[in-house]
Amino acid sequence: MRRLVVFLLLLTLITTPAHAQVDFDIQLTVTGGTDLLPPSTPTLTTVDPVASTQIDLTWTAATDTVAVGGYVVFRDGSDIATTTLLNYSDSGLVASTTYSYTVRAFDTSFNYSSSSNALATTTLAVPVVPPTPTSTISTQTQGTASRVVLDELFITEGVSTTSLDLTTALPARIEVRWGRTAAYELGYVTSNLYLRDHSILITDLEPGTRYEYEIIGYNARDRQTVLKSGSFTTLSYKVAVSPTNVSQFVAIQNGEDVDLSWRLPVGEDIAQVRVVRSHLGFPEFPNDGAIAYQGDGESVKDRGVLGQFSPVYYTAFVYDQQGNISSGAVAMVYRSGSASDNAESADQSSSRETIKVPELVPEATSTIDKKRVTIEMKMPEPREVYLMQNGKRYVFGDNDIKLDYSQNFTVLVPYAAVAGNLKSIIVTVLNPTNTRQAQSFLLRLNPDRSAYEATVGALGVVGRSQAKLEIYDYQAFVVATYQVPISFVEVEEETGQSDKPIFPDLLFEHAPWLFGGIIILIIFIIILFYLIRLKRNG
Amino acid sequence: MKSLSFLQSSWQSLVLTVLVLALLNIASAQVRSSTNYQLQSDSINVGGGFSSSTSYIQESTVGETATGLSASASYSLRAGYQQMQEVFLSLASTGNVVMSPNISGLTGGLSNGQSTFTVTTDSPAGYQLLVAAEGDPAMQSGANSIADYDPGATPSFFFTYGAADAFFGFSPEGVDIVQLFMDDGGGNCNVSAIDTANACWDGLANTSQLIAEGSGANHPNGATTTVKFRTGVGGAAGVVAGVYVATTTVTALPL
Repeated sequence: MRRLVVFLLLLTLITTPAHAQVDFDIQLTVTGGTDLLPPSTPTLTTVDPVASTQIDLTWTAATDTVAVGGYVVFRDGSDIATTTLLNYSDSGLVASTTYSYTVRAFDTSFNYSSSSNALATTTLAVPVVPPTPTSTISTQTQGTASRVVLDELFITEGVSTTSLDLTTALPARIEVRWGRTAAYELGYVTSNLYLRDHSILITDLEPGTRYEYEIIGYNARDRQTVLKSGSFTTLSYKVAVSPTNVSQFVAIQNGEDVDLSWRLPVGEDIAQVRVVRSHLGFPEFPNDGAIAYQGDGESVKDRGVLGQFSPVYYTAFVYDQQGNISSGAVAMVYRSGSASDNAESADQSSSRETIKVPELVPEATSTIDKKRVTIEMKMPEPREVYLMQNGKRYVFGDNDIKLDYSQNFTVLVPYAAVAGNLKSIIVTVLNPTNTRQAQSFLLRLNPDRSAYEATVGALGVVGRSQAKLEIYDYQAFVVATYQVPISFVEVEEETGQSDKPIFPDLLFEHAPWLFGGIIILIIFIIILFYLIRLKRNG
Repeated sequence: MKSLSFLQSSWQSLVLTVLVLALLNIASAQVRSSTNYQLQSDSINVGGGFSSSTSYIQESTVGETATGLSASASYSLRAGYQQMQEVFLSLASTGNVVMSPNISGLTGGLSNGQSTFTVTTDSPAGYQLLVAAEGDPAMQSGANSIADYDPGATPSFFFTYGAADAFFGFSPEGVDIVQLFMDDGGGNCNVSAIDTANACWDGLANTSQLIAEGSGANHPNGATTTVKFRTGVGGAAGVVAGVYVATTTVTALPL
């Protein structure tokens, strides 16, 4: 007995308290790998003084293990430009001055190559302009030795724009003037670079209207020659279709710079993209701010902007070959001390024109800020906010919207459904595969002025998403919000077969009691026949 | 005579059909069930019963079966009335975590995940919940790793990282989280008693760290603690591509 007591005491002492334990793994996938290797060093091949104020540079392409992101041009040791091209025209120089140039390549991870070879040259001397007999521009040659000659001219008319693409025999500056009469009273565009190829876009034109134009060329000594005069007529509304917006338009802080990237619409005759910047709000049209980029690329670094302003707003407009302009994709970026979570930064910011990633909601919702909406500020009903794809129309009150993930879709608000004195309408679409990401688009008045609309490119991924449409008043406050859940699905080709259930699924779905009764009857009959047969045999 | 035989057979068939259906029904029978549990039988014994007075109701059993100690990694169960001398404690979790989205090593980004732990105990003194990583640093992929988030002695309210940084951290949330992970709602941790969502981040060390503590019995509902995990990779951090895994242990102890 004593031994038993001692054993129990020892057992009590050594027994550890009960505990529970769970082992599990936390998994993270890092893709793409790291790129710590800089690209190869480019070779600066030519530095040509083409004018008293301009030197043209060319260099060889660099190579990289991943991808070359671009080139930085240095003049006398200071960086002056970043470009993705293999040439650059340095303008605004002082005549008869020697400049030295180098180039460095960088990759998409911003690893920089060593500096290229240095080349130096001297700008041309200031031209001595002979006195001209009259002040009017003569179509005669002013110095036949360096006369600007027009080689090619292509004019592409749009609804509200017209582009002039021209080539001169020698590098020249170009000036284009236009108007409704031969006085060219409406405006002019002057290029500062001496180039052979020029592309000039005239905007804010009236549809279906005839315009007179005149092209003037300036040679390296700034002598001018009228290269061409004529007329063009803009397209009428009826043939105009707004091109699809760029997709995945994002602006990411990189120190005081902003890295902008986007994806061009697929399968459309895109001419170029113009990215416009403003610190006051999202640019509403292509001239509503500073041009951060114009071209047919898919990324650009906007240097030094966050050193002056925060936040900075960007809108990317797509131009098609006919000069039609998309409604605009928008993005914004904040300056912060570190590259911390942008979403958190956005949450801490003012509510004015702030893009917030919408959260998935189970059903359509709409809210109107009645404190800010006055009687004359007409707001659309949810059933007046449309999603359109392949001829099918859905409204923001629907709860079962299924869109084809591989097709564009359009968000549309009828012109008559919303007051005209509001600042902007922005639609934000959640990324189905990453609910922390979204892309946003401006709605603009369409060519026939029947509705505000934005065409969103195919998302290319399936999954649950969310569309949020926000209407901003003239003070840039949100006055109305509409949200609707969307499922992006894979739509199979029509095969003529019905999706409706067939027998026995139909019976089970609509009359389960009948289905159960039939099963019981079958069991009963089987047993009955088995017993009868058993009795006959035995 | 034939018709009598047919009727007899029919009657026997009907009886057999009912029996077959009853057997089918028994196969799926259960006393109680929920989305998480199925209680197949509440007591298996051969005797005993209720006895009562004005103050107590007592149930005794005789000849109980299916009694004794049962244990797994998540549960420790002592079945039978005489087995309830030790405290009962269970720990349920949502299991492995796959952080989302994937992060591009070239551009960097932020990835999140979370796991939920429910501790149920009848210990009158409560429980403690501890977390520890197996590796140091926690997040590893072969020879490559992502550094543990290091805010110092006190967790940091915001999860921040620079362009050249890559960090992995965690933040517990729930009714029983310890003071260290509470905040004032204004950017400071280890102060006040607010549990702001996605706030107060710390690194996951390979030594046990107390994240939650209950001060009394909480059965049958238990107490839930959600642990959020976050990885931030800067665009110039140079993180090598791969599947990174942090093998982690969460332990619940009765007090």
